[in-house]
Amino acid sequence: MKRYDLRSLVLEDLRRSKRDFAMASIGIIVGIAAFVFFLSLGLGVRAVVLGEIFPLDKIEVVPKSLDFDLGPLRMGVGKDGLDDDAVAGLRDIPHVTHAFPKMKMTAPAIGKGGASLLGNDLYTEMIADSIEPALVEGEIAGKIPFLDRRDPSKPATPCSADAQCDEYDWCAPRNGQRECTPMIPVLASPHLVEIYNGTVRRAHDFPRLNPDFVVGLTFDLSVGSSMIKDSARANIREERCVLAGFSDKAIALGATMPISYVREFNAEYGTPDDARRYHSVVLQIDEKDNVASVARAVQERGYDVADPGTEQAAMLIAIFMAVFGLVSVVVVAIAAINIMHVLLMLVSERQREFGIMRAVGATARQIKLLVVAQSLLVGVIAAALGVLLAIAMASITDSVSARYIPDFPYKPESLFELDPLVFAGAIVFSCGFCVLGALLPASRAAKIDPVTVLTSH
Amino acid sequence: MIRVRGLHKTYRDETRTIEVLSGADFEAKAGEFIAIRGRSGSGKTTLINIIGGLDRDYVGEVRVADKLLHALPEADLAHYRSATVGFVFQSFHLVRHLTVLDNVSLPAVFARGESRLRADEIQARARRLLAEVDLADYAEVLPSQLSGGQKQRVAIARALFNRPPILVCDEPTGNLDATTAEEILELFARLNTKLGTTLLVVTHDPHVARRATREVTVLDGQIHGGHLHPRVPPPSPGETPRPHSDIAAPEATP
Ligand SMILES: Nc1ncnc2c1ncn2[C@@H]1O[C@H](COP(=O)(O)OP(=O)(O)OP(=O)(O)O)[C@@H](O)[C@H]1O
Ligand SMILES: [Mg+2]
Repeated sequence: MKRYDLRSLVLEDLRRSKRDFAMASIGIIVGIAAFVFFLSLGLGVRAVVLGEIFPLDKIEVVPKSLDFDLGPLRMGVGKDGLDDDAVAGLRDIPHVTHAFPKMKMTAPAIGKGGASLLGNDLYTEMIADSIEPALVEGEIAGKIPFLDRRDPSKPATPCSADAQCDEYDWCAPRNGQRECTPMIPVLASPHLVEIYNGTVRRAHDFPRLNPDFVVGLTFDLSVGSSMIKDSARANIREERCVLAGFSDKAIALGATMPISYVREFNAEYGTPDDARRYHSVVLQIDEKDNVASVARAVQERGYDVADPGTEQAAMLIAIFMAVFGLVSVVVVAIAAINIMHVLLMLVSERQREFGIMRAVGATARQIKLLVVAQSLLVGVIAAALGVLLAIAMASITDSVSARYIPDFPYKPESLFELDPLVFAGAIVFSCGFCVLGALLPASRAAKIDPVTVLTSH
Repeated sequence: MIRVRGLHKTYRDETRTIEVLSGADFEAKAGEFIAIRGRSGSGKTTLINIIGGLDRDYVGEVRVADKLLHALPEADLAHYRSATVGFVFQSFHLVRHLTVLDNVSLPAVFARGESRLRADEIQARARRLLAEVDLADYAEVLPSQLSGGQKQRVAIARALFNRPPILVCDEPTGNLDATTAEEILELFARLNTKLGTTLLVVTHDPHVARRATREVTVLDGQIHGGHLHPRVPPPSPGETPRPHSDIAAPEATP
């Protein structure tokens, strides 16, 4: 013994029966490792899903609609638009810091571009929406301004080639001639890059996109034309778009323009209402905790909250964590029962020893403490090993995932969120079980009658 | 020092009830060396387990060093066992996996509050005690490597660790040969005369009885000679209990 106190006696005893305890604590090590591993995985996945895929501090308000399923068709009935008054009203809801109205482009359009990047042009039916440029002010890092259409009263400069026009202008066919026209600045969602890099790119063996690198890319837009014959219009307007940057306020699949352009297209190709009504309003909320109250206020005003699947995702992750957490708890509990058996065996083996201790002045409480402390120490050591094991498994998983699992959208650098709080929790939890398991053996040890065990007959 | 009045002790098991002590009286003055004799099964062990504070299950009054034992809470009784009495058993009862030094220091492990010593003090005291019982070279040895007499000397050193005024011994020489027993008796006599330790020694050995200042006999539930005998001369001034040091050695050895 080094210090001649209960602690050194506990260490001595532990050293003496390390083999018994080692066997019994394997369960705890494994259980705690599983607990930490799956909890960290759950937290890591949740951080990606709720932080990047479904941000929790925003909700999207859409007009209320009653959907009727009529065979393959869905018919929406009800108010189908949000006008400026509605947006102002939404902005007044407490805890709403910003409201971004979005207007979808209702005109058909075909986008064409990508030759510089992919070798040849891609054609796609264009999906676009729009926001007020003020909403992303200061957010777009690049030098291409995301601004509304330039004053139309300014006289147009005739041209014959793009080179004759200013930067971010192009030589567009207009009214039977060609004139320098500003390109439409568009924003893309960072999700788009993720999805492209994660899947599309691999399917077609395209190069990986670096978001910074693609800013400034241009593509052509034929407004009024469509791959779907019936949708195509007689009057076609040629536009050129330039990618001004990325923003999570941009539509996930498609391009987001300054709202004036879409108003113009919608007015030209649709009804006057199409140019006035917003399809949705995104509300930025000051804190996650206030999302529910804002959502309620939105519904009271007669609108719906678009469900981006956040709740289901959060629920799935919670279930995942709960299931694996429970399994780990069961494993640790069983291990604690093992520890209890070891302790019971040791207590009955060492009755005489406890009797001697009582005879030289140990109280029943000190004996109890001796047994509980042994178990506690086993709990701490086993849990610490379990945590280390979990960290090792997590880093192995991450490196395997980095090396062998192809990129998928939102693939994070680490799937795990290693939180010291989780480690501490795991250790506390293991200790709790070990103490519980020690209670019965400890009270047995404390009840040992020194007279009986020391008096030989 | 010790006063036992009307002590009743009954053992019960499923089949029978035996009253081992039936209203026994016993007294001992500080500094006495009392041999407790009696037939096997008469209740000698029972008596000293009670006086030693190991057994609380009895009826009657047991007062030791001004403490009424049955009235002491469990923790105080534990303190009594550690501070006031030292126990020596026939079968030594050393802790097998602890070294001789650690066995001797064991009482210090459970000391609480003010009676806690520093680790270096504990070691020093244990080593001094081992030197006193001629086992200085055996400090780091495990009990299994000792002879019976050596084991008993370790047990005595352990019993003396907290410098108790009373030592109770249950047939301490019962497992030892005559010469070894004689050595132990020498030790007891030295303790008794030099430190004034009160000794209660249960024994079948007439040699022990001869060394003692008084002899009592447990018989039929009573203690004969339990009252202070007028024959016993009062301890001379030189033999009155003094503040204890480790047996006789001054504190500041080696
Ligand atoms: N725990 C017990 N349960 C039942 N009976 C007991 C118990 N302990 C002692 N006895 C009985 O009490 C009586 C006295 O026992 P005790 O051990 O005090 O005798 P003793 O005088 O020390 O004998 P010995 O000289 O053999 O050691 C014996 O008859 C014994 O059988
Ligand atoms: Mg006996």
